[in-house]
Amino acid sequence: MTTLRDLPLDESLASGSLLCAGCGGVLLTRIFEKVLGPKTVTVNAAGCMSMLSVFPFTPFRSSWFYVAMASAPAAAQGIRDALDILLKKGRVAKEDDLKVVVVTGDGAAADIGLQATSGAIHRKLDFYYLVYDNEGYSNTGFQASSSSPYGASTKTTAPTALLPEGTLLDKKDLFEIWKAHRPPYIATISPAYIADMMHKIEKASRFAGPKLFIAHSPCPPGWDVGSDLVIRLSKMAVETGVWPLKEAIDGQVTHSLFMKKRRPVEEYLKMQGRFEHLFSPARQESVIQAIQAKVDDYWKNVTK
Amino acid sequence: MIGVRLAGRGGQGIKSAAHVVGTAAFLAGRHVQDQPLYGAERRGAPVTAFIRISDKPVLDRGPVHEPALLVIADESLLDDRSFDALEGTTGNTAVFVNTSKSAGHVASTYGVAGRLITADLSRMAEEALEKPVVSAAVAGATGRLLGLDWSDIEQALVLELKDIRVEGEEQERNLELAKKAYGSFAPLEKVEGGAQVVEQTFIELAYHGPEASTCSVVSPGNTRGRDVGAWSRLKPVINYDECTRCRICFVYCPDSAITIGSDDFPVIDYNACKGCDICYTECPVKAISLVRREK
Repeated sequence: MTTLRDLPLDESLASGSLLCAGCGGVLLTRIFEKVLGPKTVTVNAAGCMSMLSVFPFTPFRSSWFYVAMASAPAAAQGIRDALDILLKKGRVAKEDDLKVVVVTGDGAAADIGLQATSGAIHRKLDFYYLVYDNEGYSNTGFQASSSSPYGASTKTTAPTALLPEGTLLDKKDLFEIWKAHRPPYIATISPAYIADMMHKIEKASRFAGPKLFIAHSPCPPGWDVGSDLVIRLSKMAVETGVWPLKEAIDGQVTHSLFMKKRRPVEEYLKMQGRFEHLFSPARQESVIQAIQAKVDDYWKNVTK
Repeated sequence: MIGVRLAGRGGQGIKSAAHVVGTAAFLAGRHVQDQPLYGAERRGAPVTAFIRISDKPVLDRGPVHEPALLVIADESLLDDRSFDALEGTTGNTAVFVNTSKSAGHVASTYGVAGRLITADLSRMAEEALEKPVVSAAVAGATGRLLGLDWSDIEQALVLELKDIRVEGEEQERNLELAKKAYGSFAPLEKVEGGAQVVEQTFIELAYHGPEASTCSVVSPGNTRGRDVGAWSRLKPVINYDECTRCRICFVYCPDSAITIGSDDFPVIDYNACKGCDICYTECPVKAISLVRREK
């Protein structure tokens, strides 16, 4: 399953959800559910994707479990354990076993639920984790999270005369935090590289234990980008080196896409209103250069 | 039922004293509650503890607002207007105050209504333990005023002290202090009251399986019927003469609004299309155009 033509035609996520038009998170969840198939149980921490199922409606064809922001991986543990017990007792047939899939945003992943994830990875829980990283608390109006990148404007880090940069802190490196736990599989994915994503999900399914994905997830209202441009934007994030596509198998990192020449980050920043203050009314050269330097610094040490 | 309220300051041992008295009454076969109430403050802040003792199951919960016996282990609390140590006391309430002064002085200074008993438990504690921890003395005094047996108080105090690893000589000195306080009083006559809840009402709930409380959607994927087509003024329209059936539009549609027909061509469901226009932007051969939606 490595070309777009291999993508299953059946939809695991039905139309008609109330999420924004052009939502990166919905597209990612849809592809994820498609590749994993109908025998899943999705555990969803509070966030944008919890708007998918609003009783009595659900776009899911399979079970969905909604849980507090801090607790999705802990809830996944309970579900996995229950399934294992039922399988052992013969009350669930082996062919009816379900894949446990956690879907959360970056707020739950990098801030509020980080400890529950740490615990689940440490316990080698057999589950999938998809983080739709929209780099802020989009569901509540795009406040900054620890995943918001340096220089971005959010509701809580809007540029001011005194602090013209916007967000002052750097994006938390969730990939490295996860990697320190040595799970069997971690990957970064992008909605602009669906075939890569499909390949990685399939590859991950060969491993028992935590299978973790961080996805670039454009948020049209939060990032102030046209809903039709989200795929272009995600592609630009990869081509500028802002969003490296990579995987870590048992802690060994390989990059899925290694570019000899990267586009300047400016091209990525200029596509989004959340970085507009870096270009107008006056160009903030030092901030743009600092963002470029951070990206260059990352790729400086990448050899594979 | 007897409702008892104890007031003291953090570090004096009020919580422990209430627990000892509660345990002693429990050991005597009574129905008992005891619980402390304090904020996030540390030593010196006001602490309140409550005990309820009854021959029947205790139905009340929370603070004892109208105690039958009020024990004030720190006289200075009577000066603290924000604390309101005498809350809910009437002429029938028995009030014990730990003070070096006389009952008459306390009554006139602080306007204590009801039956007033005083004793200098702090000095007693200082002599016995060389520190101002009055828990054992308060437990002994309170237990005696409530008419509990010494053997029950003693047993409860040993349990409490063991719990906080006070053993050997230190434990002996606490027991002696409690016994001395116990012996300094006579049991109160007619100490009764403090109950607010007198009747027990239960609503019988029939058993329902977990499915009764679980949101169950009978038809999975039922958002499909919802019309989100009005979200946008424009709609994408496929020019099938140009379409190469590459499926790019199908792949990138976040909302599952595009299906692949039996002839392998994509079909847009306009009730499901929110008009994000990703398909329009991504179509590699520009076979999709945007057209104004009719109302």
